[in-house]
Amino acid sequence: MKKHVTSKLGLLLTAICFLATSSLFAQEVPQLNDTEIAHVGVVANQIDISYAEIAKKKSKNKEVINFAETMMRDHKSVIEQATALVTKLGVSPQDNTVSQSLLDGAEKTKKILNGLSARKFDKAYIDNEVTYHKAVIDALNNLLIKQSSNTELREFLQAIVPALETHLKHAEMVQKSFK
Amino acid sequence: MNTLSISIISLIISLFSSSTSVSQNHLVDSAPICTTPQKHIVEIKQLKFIPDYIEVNKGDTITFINNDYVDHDVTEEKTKKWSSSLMKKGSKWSMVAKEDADYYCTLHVIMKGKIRIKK
Repeated sequence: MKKHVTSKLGLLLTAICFLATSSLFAQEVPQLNDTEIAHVGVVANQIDISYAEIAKKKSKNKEVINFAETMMRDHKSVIEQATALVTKLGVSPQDNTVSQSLLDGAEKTKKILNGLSARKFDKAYIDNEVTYHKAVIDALNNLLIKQSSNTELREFLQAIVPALETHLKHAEMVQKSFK
Repeated sequence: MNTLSISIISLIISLFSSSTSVSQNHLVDSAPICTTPQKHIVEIKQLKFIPDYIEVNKGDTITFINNDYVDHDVTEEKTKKWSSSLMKKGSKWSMVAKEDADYYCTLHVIMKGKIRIKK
């Protein structure tokens, strides 16, 4: 029964995460300029930091805490370098519908994560990390990199992908320990 | 045996003799007589150790350079008997290879590498 409840929570989080990123893969592909792409990139990193901050407060699991600390450290580093790049390019990241969609989904996800007990939280958090990183990697490869017109921005986005793939493998490794 | 035959035989002997000499010199040159510790570089980039497998002589120095855009460390995997501690972007850390070791990054646990001492 408990396993069933946890599984349902995982499905709910996956659904929310999917809905939050579904606009990126809708039939009408959003057209973003470089300032909007930069904004989506920063927001996507901030969202994962916010999930990690919840994990740091709620989890007692050493592997989960280590993963969360890595997410905070790495995504902060990516934001710092993205900020340095847009400053160099002389552009300001612009809010847009994709960023808003991501933020709306993240608010719902955080509400669910915050409402879980520590024991249920660990699996739900890691399941969400797996889904979230898959969605962001897809968004980078199929939308953000393709639509970016500035070479430096495109190269920066391409350089982020291996880090996200490593995060995904790390999350999947932790996920296996819950099965 | 005429003069031409003698010349050809002499030439063949001379060439054979020369070839042997070169071959012997080559053998001497490539013999493992070098005892000076060597230096090796392992680059950390795009969340990978490059190369992730390195063969060195005992006493050689291995320098890890973090050319990535996130922090890393280099830690012996089995018992954590040695570790670089946190390596910021652009930082370096060196160690002297004393024995075979499997190592990893404790921050990104799927990042792994191997050091093997040449026999």
